[in-house]
Amino acid sequence: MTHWHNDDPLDASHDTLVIDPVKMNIVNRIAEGSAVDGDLRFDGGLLLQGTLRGMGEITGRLVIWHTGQLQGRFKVLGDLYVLGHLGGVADDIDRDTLIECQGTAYVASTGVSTGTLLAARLRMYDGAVLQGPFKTLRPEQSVPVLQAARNS
Amino acid sequence: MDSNPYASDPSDDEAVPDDLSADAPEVMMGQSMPEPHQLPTLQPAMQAMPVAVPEGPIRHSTLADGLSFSGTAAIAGSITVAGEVQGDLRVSEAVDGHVTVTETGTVVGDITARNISVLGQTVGLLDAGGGRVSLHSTASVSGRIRYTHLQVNGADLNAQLERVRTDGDQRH
Repeated sequence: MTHWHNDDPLDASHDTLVIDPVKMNIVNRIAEGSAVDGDLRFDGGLLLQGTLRGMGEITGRLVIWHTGQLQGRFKVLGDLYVLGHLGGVADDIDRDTLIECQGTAYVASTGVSTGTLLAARLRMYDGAVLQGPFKTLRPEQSVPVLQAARNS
Repeated sequence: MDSNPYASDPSDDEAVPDDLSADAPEVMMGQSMPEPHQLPTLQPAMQAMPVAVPEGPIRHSTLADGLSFSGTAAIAGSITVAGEVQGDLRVSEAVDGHVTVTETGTVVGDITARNISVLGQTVGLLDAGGGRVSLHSTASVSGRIRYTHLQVNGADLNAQLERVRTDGDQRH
């Protein structure tokens, strides 16, 4: 990937993510202080700096910023970067939050996830918090997260 | 990325709004984890070489590739598992022990230790409450994980995760 900066694999330094909205095709943004609730579909990537609740689909990358919070049932077709909160802010497991990520889920050292996370690949950094179930998605299986959510 | 329809063209006056093009922040993700094939390891010939041993006993056990073990093992020190274990591995909490399951290693059972590194397969509980769990990209882990520090680098993971707070933490 072009937006990662760490050339020396044995260098125990930090991985840095360059959030370039153009390269990452992040065309949607929920700014800090904003709260969006409902059944939503984002065409392209989303930079989440505020709060997003409900259900829906992000057809691109999702970056949950340090100030961002996502709750509910969402399907992310691209990679997921968790720098903020996925699920409730409390320590308890958030059983109402279920995220299906068809790419790689990156949980940074500042990231906290208390919901259920399904992802094709997980990369989790020291200091990150994952409470609750995690499942690696196999290529052949696609979990009907949204259908289950809509039928319930 | 060249074919990206959103890519900016310098000759295009209305290429990208300012708040998109000027704002490309770099964020720290955390300490990086090396890929398994790039981990520094000692060749067998090197392992047999005498080394200066620091004060106090150093105990390291190895369950070699091809060895299959059933039962419960209580370990003082550290252990490397390259074979198959059916049962529990327990490293005393008083020891800063390390359990390493190599790429050829399989453990079906619970592992309790301060530090756990997995490059192979485990089924069961990985209990490193107060300690560290590292899952490398070749690992396949299912069951439960109790940890205070957890690093995952693309492992195949199907687990219930539980973070254990240490005494130093403010909130419990």
